[in-house]
Amino acid sequence: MSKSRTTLCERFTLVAAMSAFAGGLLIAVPAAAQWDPPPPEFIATTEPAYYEGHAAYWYNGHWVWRDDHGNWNHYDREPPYLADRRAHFPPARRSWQGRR
Amino acid sequence: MRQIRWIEGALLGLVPLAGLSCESKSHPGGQSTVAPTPLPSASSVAVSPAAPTAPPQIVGADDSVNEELRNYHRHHHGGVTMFISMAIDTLGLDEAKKAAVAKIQSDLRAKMAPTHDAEHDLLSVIADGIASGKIDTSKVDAAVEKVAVASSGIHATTSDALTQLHDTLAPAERAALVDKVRAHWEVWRKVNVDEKAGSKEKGTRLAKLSELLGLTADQVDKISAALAAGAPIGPKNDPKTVDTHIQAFATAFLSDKFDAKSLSPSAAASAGHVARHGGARLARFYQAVTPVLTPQQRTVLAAHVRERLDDDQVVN
Repeated sequence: MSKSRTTLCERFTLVAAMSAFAGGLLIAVPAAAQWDPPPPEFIATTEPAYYEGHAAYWYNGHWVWRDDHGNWNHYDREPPYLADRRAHFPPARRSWQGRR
Repeated sequence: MRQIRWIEGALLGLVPLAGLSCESKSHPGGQSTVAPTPLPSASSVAVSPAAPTAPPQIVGADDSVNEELRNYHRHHHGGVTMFISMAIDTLGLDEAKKAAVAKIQSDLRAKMAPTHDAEHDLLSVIADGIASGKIDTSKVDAAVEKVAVASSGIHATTSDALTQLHDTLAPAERAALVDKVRAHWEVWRKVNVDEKAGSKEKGTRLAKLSELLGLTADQVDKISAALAAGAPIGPKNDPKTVDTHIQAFATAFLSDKFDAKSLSPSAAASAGHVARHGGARLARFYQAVTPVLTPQQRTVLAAHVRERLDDDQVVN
């Protein structure tokens, strides 16, 4: 009985430790990777950079672009060309209100 | 005991799954995809490294540039050709190509001058009406029709300029232009079709007006009720005709060979929709608002509408 209790206790400890580890990983990844595609207002008002045959937009910390099927994508790592471009030519935004 | 083993097994199963997530996060040069329909939160495993310059500025839904665009589309209804002209402004072309495209855009804008003049008249009629305390419905209807007729004739006169534009742009630049035209249409539709008439929610036309004029709760309620009781959108104003035209334009413009004249059937079907629907909704809004305002509020609002006459439109 005593041995059985010890085993049970050990298993609980093991399970708790593993769940904490797994839970920590599952929570940490989405938190770091959250991104949203830009709204139409942003696309309409912002100049893109052209890279790898498509227009890329720097939006909330990511370079995002649309593929041939209309899906939004983003680069896992900022390509050096785009990083350099962003450093020297920050993406310009345009307003049509109140000017002529 | 059996239950404990089950839980234990399930949790052990989670570990490799978590490990897989961790592995894909570190995959070099990988990309992730989001479906065309915007999602509330895209599931992704990507993390960009630190920016070489200042931290990225977060662009929220209430970003001032976004809001200015929404306000622009609330007041201007020049149609799809106007969206194309605006799209050119933010193509981000290199200097050599920019000069060639500016020349085409200048021609495009010159051909769109009748629409610009008609829009100017419509906004003037509305501003005058607000200032005097009563918007003349017959003058408004005539002005809206003038915008519709002018924008209906644009496609025929701008076909050559659009073909030149196509031939000047590279495939990626054409795709960017199409994306921007669609974006302008989405924003226009959002504020002129999808937004419920009389809605008081944050960011709506009425909420923005309330901020501008410092409306009382009673004034807001009266305006909201008047707008909600306004005329419903009829089949004549079905935005699907514009959807169809923009899709036809996108397909044709993304092709290697483009003939703007081939778009005449869909252009004719959608012609005037943006002007008639947008102009009528604009007028209805100010017709509902004007009787509820104090003389001082009317003065401020009339000046605000007149400022829209100076917006950077289709003609420089």
